[in-house]
This record gives sequence, structure tokens and C-alpha cells, in this order.
Amino acid sequence: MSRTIEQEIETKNIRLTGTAATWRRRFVVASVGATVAATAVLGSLMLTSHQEASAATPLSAAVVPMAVGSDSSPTPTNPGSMPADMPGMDMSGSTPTPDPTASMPGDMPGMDMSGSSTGAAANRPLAPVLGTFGGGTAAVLLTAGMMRRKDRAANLIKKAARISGRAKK
Amino acid sequence: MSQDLQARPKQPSRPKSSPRLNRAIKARTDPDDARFDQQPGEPRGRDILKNRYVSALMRSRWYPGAFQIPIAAVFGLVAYELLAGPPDAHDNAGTALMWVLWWPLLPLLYVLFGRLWCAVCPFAALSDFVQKLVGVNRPVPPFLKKYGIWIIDATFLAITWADHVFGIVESPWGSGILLLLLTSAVIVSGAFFQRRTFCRYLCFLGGLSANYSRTGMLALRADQEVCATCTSKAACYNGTDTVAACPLFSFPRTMDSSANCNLCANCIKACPNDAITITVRKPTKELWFLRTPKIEESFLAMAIMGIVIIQNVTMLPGWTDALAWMNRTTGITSYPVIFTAVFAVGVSIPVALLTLAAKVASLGNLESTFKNFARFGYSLIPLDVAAHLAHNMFHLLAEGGSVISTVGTLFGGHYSGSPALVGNGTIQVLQYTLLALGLIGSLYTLRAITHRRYLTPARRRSTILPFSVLIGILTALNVVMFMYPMAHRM
Repeated sequence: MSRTIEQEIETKNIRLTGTAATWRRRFVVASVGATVAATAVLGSLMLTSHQEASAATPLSAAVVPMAVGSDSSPTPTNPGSMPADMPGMDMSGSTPTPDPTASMPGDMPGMDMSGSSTGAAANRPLAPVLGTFGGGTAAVLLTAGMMRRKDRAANLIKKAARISGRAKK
Repeated sequence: MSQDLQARPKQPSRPKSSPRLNRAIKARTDPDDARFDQQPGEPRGRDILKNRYVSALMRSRWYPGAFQIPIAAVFGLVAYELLAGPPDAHDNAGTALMWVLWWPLLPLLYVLFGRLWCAVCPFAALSDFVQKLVGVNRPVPPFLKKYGIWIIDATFLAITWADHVFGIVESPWGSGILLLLLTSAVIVSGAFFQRRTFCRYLCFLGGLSANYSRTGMLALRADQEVCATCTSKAACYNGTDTVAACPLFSFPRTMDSSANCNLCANCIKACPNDAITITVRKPTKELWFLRTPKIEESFLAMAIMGIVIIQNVTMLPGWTDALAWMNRTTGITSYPVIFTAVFAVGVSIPVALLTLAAKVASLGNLESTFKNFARFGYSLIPLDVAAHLAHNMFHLLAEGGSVISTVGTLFGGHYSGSPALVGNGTIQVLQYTLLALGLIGSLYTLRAITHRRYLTPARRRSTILPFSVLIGILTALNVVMFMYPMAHRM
């Protein structure tokens, strides 16, 4: 009986002083937190760069219509032979914009008739949003991990004290 | 042990001398009170756990995980599309999947299967994962237990308001931010608090599902006789070494409502006596046997009714004219200001009407307006569900094609058909059928609650009349709104 108690106390004391198991947990918590943060930041950067590249594509296509060896879809090289008003052939990037009527306030949702689509991409600050989210998540996970470690240590100390008290009796 | 068990109803302090005291004394000597306490609970239907396939499914260690994984994968796709996909809602598969497919189907799921969605919800899976990883497992703060549903009420209203002012549904980015905010809240809750504190006490969708699942056709209960002999120290509530505890803090032995049961089957797996049953019942049946009404749940029912009215009004063709008129009349050009005023009025209408009906009923049934509000607000839940379903039916059937086209485009396909799956006439017939069913459900629930609560015909009459009028008014309001064509989400 006493042997078992001693073993238990020994085991718990070993855990309390910081063994491989504790360090493994710390490592897991820290690495998960770091991974989440890194994924968020890198992901947001990749997505932003991807968006910028997508936004830049029409411009580069206009400047270099037929890049050598490119797989892009064929671009008309002789627009002069095509009627300018042919639907879908206007490649200037601008679209006809209806004027808002006087009765419609400009800031009402659904009333934005400017037709601009580049603004939408600019209004999506992915990097800061995902960075904040990832950073916040990492902070929460790390805090919770540390709190759990403290709680467990406190519980083990209590249990050890209780068991040693019983053993003395 | 059980938080639900520990919560004992407090005796109200006795007022010194007032008309209220007289009324309280009158109510206390009322024979209806004793009779109401002796009323039997909801009768049990057929136990579907006796079917070996259902039993095998519920007891399987792959349930509900087998459903959670594909749903979480779709959720990931939706989140990616919303945050990084096409900026226009019209082309965004995330918007289509979330607001045209999932959101409209949700109330239907609640009616058919109760709160089953909460068992397979990706947020719940995330909460469990975070808890397993770093969970501190602090007990639920008392203020959350006390005011949780009020927080849910406020969140629901705030999100609906934000949707109109900042654009959440129509904007993939807005929807994506909403998902990120919810994810953050779930992570915080899972990291610090025990079980699914967020789902039970904070999730606005959880509040909605708790209310709607009372009309659900599945009910999980425990066999009281078997439980009386149980020596397992509430394994169904606390869990075992191999099975997790009840995530929503429900104790099957005392459970008389499906509001906080997500059919996760933990209790079924943990019960050593096979005392848990899952029965099939008629929709809305739980409401007929209402025993402990809560004012915050009645308020939520009315708030949802108000939200459905607001959603309908803002999608009507006259909404733009109304805005322009308000602009001319008041000189206010700010949409948020105008909408906030309309929103406040719209949400207040059902609450005010229920308060008025409760006041009128209190004159005849000799119970306080407060008690009437709390008890008979539940009778409007069937109409609530029906109106919500009817509204969502439009989005699902008139815009369902957009789900096929956007998701098809995502995977390289092409769909050039109409977004409408059926014609407007068919949609309207379905909407009115749903409203009729909701009306019947609400009236029947009202009658059932009244007949169980009051013995004398005079008290029954004086209760049924004002609330029937209220149900009629709200139904008529919905009928009128569904007569007009609505604007599309996508």
C-alpha cells in the first residue's frame, strides 16, 4: 500500500519538476500556436499576392497580347476589324455606368451603381484580418495551454499533499 | 453534479400588501395550480432506438464524427470562398452554399430532426478540438447561465441589424468576417470553458435551434423507472472514460424538452442500463406540454418573428420607395439611421402585440402579464417556424440554381440555366401552405397550453381569445407580405 503511494508521489513529483511529458505538451501547444499564426500570416500573404496578380492580369495581357510560349487563351490582335460595339468585345476595362437617380441616396446598400469591381478587392484587407485572427487565436491557445499546465500542476500538488498526509497517518 | 439539477426554483418573496398580493393569494388558492402540477408529462411515442440500424448508428463510435468531417470540409470551402473567392455574391459559391442552401434548409432540419445540426456543426467540432488540445475546462460563469439567452437574443438582433447596415448576406467578405468572428468566439469558449459552453449559452443559432427544436419530431428522453435504480453516478451527464459528457449540460433523467439536446448520442453510449430512448412525435407536440416557460425564450420567439417581418419588408419592391419617402419626409439620408429606426419598430411590433395580448388575457385568467407573456409566447413558435421557412423557401427555390452554377464553376463545370428551381406560383402555394400549417400549429398549441393550465371555461376563453387574435394578425401580416415578389439575395 505505502509502496504504491510512494510510487505515485514520486511519479507526480517527477511530472511537477518538468519531465519529457511536460515539455512535450509545452512543445505541442507552442508549435500549434506558432503553426496557426504562421499559416494565417502566410496564407493571407499568399492570398493577397494571388489577388494582386489576378487584378494585374488584364493589364499585362493588354500590354503583351501574345506572350511567347504562354498558355493563356488567344487574345484578338486586330481589334480594328471588329465592330467596337460588339457585346463582350470592349476590352478597355470600363463598363457603362448608369447615373444614380436623384431619389436614391448614394450610401444605401444595393444603390452603388458605379460598376467598379476593383474597389471590391481593395476593400478586402485579407492580410490584416487573417493576421489578427491568427494572432488572436495563437494567443488564446497559448494562454489556455499555460493555464491548463498551471491548473494541472496545482491539482497534482494538492493530490500529492493529500496522499502524503494520508501516508503519514 | 448536474448544473440543471442544482438549479432549484427560488420562492418569490412575498409582497407586503397590494392588489398584486390579493392576486397572488387568489392564484395560490387556485385549484388550477394543483391540477397543473399533477398533469402528466408528454407521452412517449415509439422508440426508434429499437430499430437495430438506428441503434447501431447512434452507438457507433463514428457517429457523429462521420458527418462532422465532410461538413467541416464543406465549411472550409465556404470560408475560403467567402474570404478569397469572387467579390460579388452572385458568383460566389460560399454565399450560395451558405445563404441559399444551408440557411433556408436549417429550420426544416429543426422541425424534422430537432437540434441534430448542432451535433454535426463544424463550430462544435472545432470547440471540441480546441478543448482537447488546450482546454482549461473552467465551469460556465454564473452570469452566462443566467443571462445567456438574453445575450443570444441581443446577438441575433445585432447580427440581423449588421446584415442590413454593413451587408453580410449580400457580401461574401461580410459573411466571411462573420464566420471568422464566430470561429474566434468558439475558440475562446472551447479553450477556457468546459463542454460546449458557446453552443449552449452564446451561439445565436443555438438559441434559434433551441426554440425551433421544440417543434421537432425527434425527442431523446430517459426511462425514469430505469434511472431510479441507476448506480452509475449520472454517466449520461458526466460521461465515462470512453464517452464524453453531455456537451449541452442536459441531464436526460430530468429532461422534458429537446431544446438543449443535439442528439449527439453521448448519453446513449454512456448509459449502462440502456435507459435512453429516441421517440418520434408530432411536430410542435412538446409545446403542448409546456411546464416551465421562460420569458427570454418567449422574447426570442417574438424577436425572430420581428426579424422575419423585417427581412420580408426589406425585400419587397416597395422598400426602395419607402426609403426614398422617408428620405424626403425626414431629410435623413443615412441608410443606417433609417434602417435602425425601421428595425427597432419592426422587432418591437410582435413583442408589443404579445405584451398587449398578455395584458388583456391577464384580466381574465388572473395571472400576471409577465406570466402570460412567458407562457403563451411559446404558442407562437409554430407560426414563427412556418414564417421563417416560408421566407427561406423563396430563397431556396427561387435562387437554388445559383448553388449549382457557382459550385459547378468552382469545379470547372458550367450551368447556364435559370437560378429559379420552380415558378413563383409554386413558391407562393408552398409559402401559404406552410403559413396555414403554422397557423394551425400555433392555434392548437395555444389551446393545448390553455386547457392544461386552466380548468374553468371562462379562464380558457379569456386566454384563448386575445392570443388567437394576435396569431391571426401575425399570420395576416405574413400572408400580405408573401403576396408581393421578393428581391433575390444573389
